[in-house]
Amino acid sequence: MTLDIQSITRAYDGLPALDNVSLTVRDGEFLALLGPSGSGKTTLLRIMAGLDRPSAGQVRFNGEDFLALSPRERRVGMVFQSYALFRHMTVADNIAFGLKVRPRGSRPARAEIAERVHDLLRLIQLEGYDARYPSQLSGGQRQRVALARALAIEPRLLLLDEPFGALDARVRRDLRRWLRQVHEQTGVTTVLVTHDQEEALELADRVVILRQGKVEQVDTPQALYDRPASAFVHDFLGEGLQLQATVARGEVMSSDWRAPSDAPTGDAFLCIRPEDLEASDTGLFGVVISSLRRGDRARVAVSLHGRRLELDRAVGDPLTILAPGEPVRLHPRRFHVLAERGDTLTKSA
Amino acid sequence: MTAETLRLSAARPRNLSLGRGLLIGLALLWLTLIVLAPLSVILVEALRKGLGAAVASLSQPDVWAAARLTLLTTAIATPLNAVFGLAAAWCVTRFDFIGKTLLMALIDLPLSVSPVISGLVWVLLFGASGWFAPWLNAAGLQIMFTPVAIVLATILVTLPYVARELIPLMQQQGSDEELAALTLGARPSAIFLFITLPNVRWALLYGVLLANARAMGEFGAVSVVSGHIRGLTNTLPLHVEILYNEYDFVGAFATAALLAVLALLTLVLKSFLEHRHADDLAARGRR
Repeated sequence: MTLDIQSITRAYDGLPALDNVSLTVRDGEFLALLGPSGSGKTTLLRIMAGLDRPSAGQVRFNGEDFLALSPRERRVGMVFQSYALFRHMTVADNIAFGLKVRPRGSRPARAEIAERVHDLLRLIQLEGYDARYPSQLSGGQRQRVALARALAIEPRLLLLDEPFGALDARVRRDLRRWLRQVHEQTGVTTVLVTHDQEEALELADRVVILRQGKVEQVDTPQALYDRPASAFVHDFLGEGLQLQATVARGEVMSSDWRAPSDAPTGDAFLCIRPEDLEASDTGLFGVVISSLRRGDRARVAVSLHGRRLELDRAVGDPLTILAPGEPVRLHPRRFHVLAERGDTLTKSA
Repeated sequence: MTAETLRLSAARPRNLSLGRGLLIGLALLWLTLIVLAPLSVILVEALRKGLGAAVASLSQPDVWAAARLTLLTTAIATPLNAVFGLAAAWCVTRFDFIGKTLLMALIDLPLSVSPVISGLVWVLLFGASGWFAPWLNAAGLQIMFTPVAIVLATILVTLPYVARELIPLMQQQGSDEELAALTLGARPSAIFLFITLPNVRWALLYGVLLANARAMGEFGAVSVVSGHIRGLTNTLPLHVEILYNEYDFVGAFATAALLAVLALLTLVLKSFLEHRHADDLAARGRR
């Protein structure tokens, strides 16, 4: 049950929303499409669902031509950002809808539908809510009903479009954990669209990073962190520094600092995570801006090559002793030398 | 509602009670002068020579023929415009196409041009020297000065009402629910019956009632195409005018009263539905 996307291009009024995108969604995996707004992730999801058509390229599901099937025939469960619950139907009728509208031959018996609705209500932890209307539910509850409705048709593929976008941070965290559990229980191949890197990294087996309609990198969350393919990926996956640098004769140079590197000669970005910086006699020159203590942790803001960087350290770390205004040298234990886009340079450590 | 807003809304009526009373009084006075007084004049004039005379003039065959034609015209024009309005609203709110703005302007056009013009266009098309006259003459067909022309003119005049009720609502609701139903395997007919139609049912009914009231009362457009043949092409509003011009005041006002009662029935139905609509919405929001 793999979904193969081959060289998909989609243009709106001549502007490409997706530019030659190829991708494989493996059987049973949880894949996240991650990117800033306008990166084409929702367009890609809508093409998988059949709600949009590519200008060029192929979509195959187990070898079958998916583009030849209407959304109705694909048996793909979709959860919309707006939930799109049927406002005039009860929770139970919403969940049962996909089963009730099946042609008479393949429609389950009424008792069977009722049982399936009951099972799903238990799965989404909303037993006893079957007679409510969507307007009587909280955002998180609506989200769960939308998921149950999509799961009711036993989809071959589950598509989630920014499912937690409209919820507050706390509910979002709880739902995220719960969604991962549901995925493990049902085993259904799932594709999630999100612009929230934390969400993608926590939920997904693999993450696709999209940028301006192109795939920047596809990898597991750990690999994305350890081996970002570009300065863009490094920047998108969390706080960090991207400094202009040049590589020559086996060395990377950024103003006053140099280190050995096997990256190809030329301009590049020196990418460093704040957790990899330590106070040292060598390293990049910086100035402490502020130092805030909270319990046994301290948050030290440092200005480094004109950039502001927040370092979270245990109290007692050499950095936490420094007062605002004091100079400091910071040595990166680990760094990446990357091109702006993920194509030319290799990384070093 | 927070305690703060509760306090505010409780305090407001007392502070503004004088101004409020004045405004309500003004509104009532205005309504009495502009709406109630003319309406009561109709009744008073109709009954001037006693109930018997009013009933006698209402039982003239010409009045019955006019009432029948009015109801028939309404019964044809209203459902047709309900279907067209729904289709147009669906087109405009669910698809992007070239000429969409033009279509929306065309839907509004009958509201902005004089009904007389809405009648005149049919004369220009089907009249004795109209565009289709040679073809109609060859086929031996007569459209002008027949009930067909009256129905056509009425359809044109009442065309915008349903669409204009539906378009803002369907725009606001968006198409996500329909797309969700599609991915769940629903056929287009099922999507329309189970999702689209229930979501707009109250607005649709409201639009139908407005179109209905207008169809029954239309004078200008119908007057141009009718030919005023008694018992054949006279609708109730036209008949009122004929009777009045013949100095049959009791007959004219009695017929006008009949027309007013029909319109009032529509209004009562509308208020009743609005009331139920409000309950329906509130019940779902509140519980």
